[in-house]
Amino acid sequence: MREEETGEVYFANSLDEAISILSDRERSLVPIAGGTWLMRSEKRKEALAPGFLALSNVSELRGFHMESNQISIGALTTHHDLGVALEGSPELFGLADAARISATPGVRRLATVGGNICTDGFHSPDIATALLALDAQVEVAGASGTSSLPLSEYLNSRKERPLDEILVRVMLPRMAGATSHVRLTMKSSGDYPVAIVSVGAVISSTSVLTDLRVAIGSVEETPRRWTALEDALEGQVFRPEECKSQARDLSVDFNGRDAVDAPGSYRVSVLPHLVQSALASIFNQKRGG
Amino acid sequence: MAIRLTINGEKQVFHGDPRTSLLEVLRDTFRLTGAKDVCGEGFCGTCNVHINGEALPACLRPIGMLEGAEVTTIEGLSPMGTFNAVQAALEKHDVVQCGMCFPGLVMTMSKFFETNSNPSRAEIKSAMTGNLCRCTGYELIVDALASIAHERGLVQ
Ligand SMILES: Cc1cc2nc3c(=O)[nH]c(=O)nc-3n(C[C@H](O)[C@H](O)[C@H](O)COP(=O)(O)OP(=O)(O)OC[C@H]3O[C@@H](n4cnc5c(N)ncnc54)[C@H](O)[C@@H]3O)c2cc1C
Ligand code: FES
Ligand code: FES
Repeated sequence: MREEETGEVYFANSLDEAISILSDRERSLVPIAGGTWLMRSEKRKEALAPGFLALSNVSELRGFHMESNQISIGALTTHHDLGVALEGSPELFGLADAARISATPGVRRLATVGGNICTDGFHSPDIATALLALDAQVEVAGASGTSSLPLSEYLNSRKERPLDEILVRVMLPRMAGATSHVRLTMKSSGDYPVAIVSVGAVISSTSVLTDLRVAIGSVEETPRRWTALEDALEGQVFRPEECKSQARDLSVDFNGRDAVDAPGSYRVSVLPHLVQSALASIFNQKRGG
Repeated sequence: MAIRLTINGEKQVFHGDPRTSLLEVLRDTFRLTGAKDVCGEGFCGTCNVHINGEALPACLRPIGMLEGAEVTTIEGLSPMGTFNAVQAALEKHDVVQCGMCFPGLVMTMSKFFETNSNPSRAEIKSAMTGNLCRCTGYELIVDALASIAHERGLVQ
């Protein structure tokens, strides 16, 4: 109980107001969305932010729109709501699965897409990893205006981003093909995944893989695309054992992260198998459809 | 800072640090100790309560974000001396062991049965994934919960 401290929780009512409050460094408010990361600061032995800027009333951060050429996902969309919104979109099966199986049901009703992407220090974000495999762009707004950039660039620049910046929404180009999301956990649910593989690809009638996208989460500090494997498999006929063996040869690419749940070498060692199952899953979806 | 909210149908005011978790406020200020403080970080579900109609971990909700909210805890779930269907099934099947996990589990599953009155065993298990129990091994809980739909004549 923090009896003597006088923290603050302030609700911004528009994007402009949120940016202007964040620009006021004297107040040192930290944006809070679902709070599932920030409320655990003390458990991570970090100080709780002196004050929170609640984003929940900022209508510009809400909404899910599926258009013919792009999908727009508001930063405040929760994992739960994303799972519901994506029902019946087979080409986004991977993202839907990431939303439906990560964390626990109660946490999924709180945790947001924006929080999943913006949390520097969270190494196992399912949504951010699935979005990387979908070539996502993010729209950010700050005192210097609004801009968009590839998600991968955003993830790699989180430590240097302006403090008054807010992630507004994620944009996905509509793509052909299928996607899948595979994660290895030590229990069947509730704990963080040791490794995450999210893939997207077009598989032709002759089983040739094209437009392959492989995103890896939880293995290193920040999720990223496995471009060396994408290049190696592009245009190849899908043969599960060969894909696995190529992934094994190329996994020297990764410098696994050691943590209490698993050593880095273990995270890297499971990747070939996870890649094989992720690709097999999209192959089976194709056959099923 | 004063935060006004409704807890178990009664209007309440909390004075203090708005970053304090709802769980701390329930237990330390209002002496509603049904919601348990076990992991304090969203993993175990023992602190689950209903906030504006959703089953959520109280340890992850800063009280300052709950101005005007309607909160129901295990103490306010059913009128004193009565059980709802979930509580009755757990009691009838004699499932409870140490009992630490049950307030949170009852809150989660009571809300779940409101939205899915005819769940399969797999759906029951999936809805329970955020509620850890160290004693029962879960199967008896699932049997008890599946019996609710059976008794309503709903289960295939
Ligand atoms: C028990 C537990 C298990 C979990 N397991 C998983 C899992 O397996 N996989 C998974 O993907 N997730 C998991 N999570 C959820 C994870 O905490 C969230 O996905 C996410 O990292 C936080 O989202 P949030 O909205 O709660 O963020 P918050 O806690 O509100 O914020 C997190 C950070 O993002 C910043 N932020 C939030 N929104 C914005 C925005 N729009 N613009 C700028 N900055 C912003 C905040 O300032 C803060 O720094 C788990 C959470 C818990 C509690
Ligand atoms: S105490 Fe809240 S989930 Fe464990
Ligand atoms: S009965 Fe003891 S933790 Fe569930």
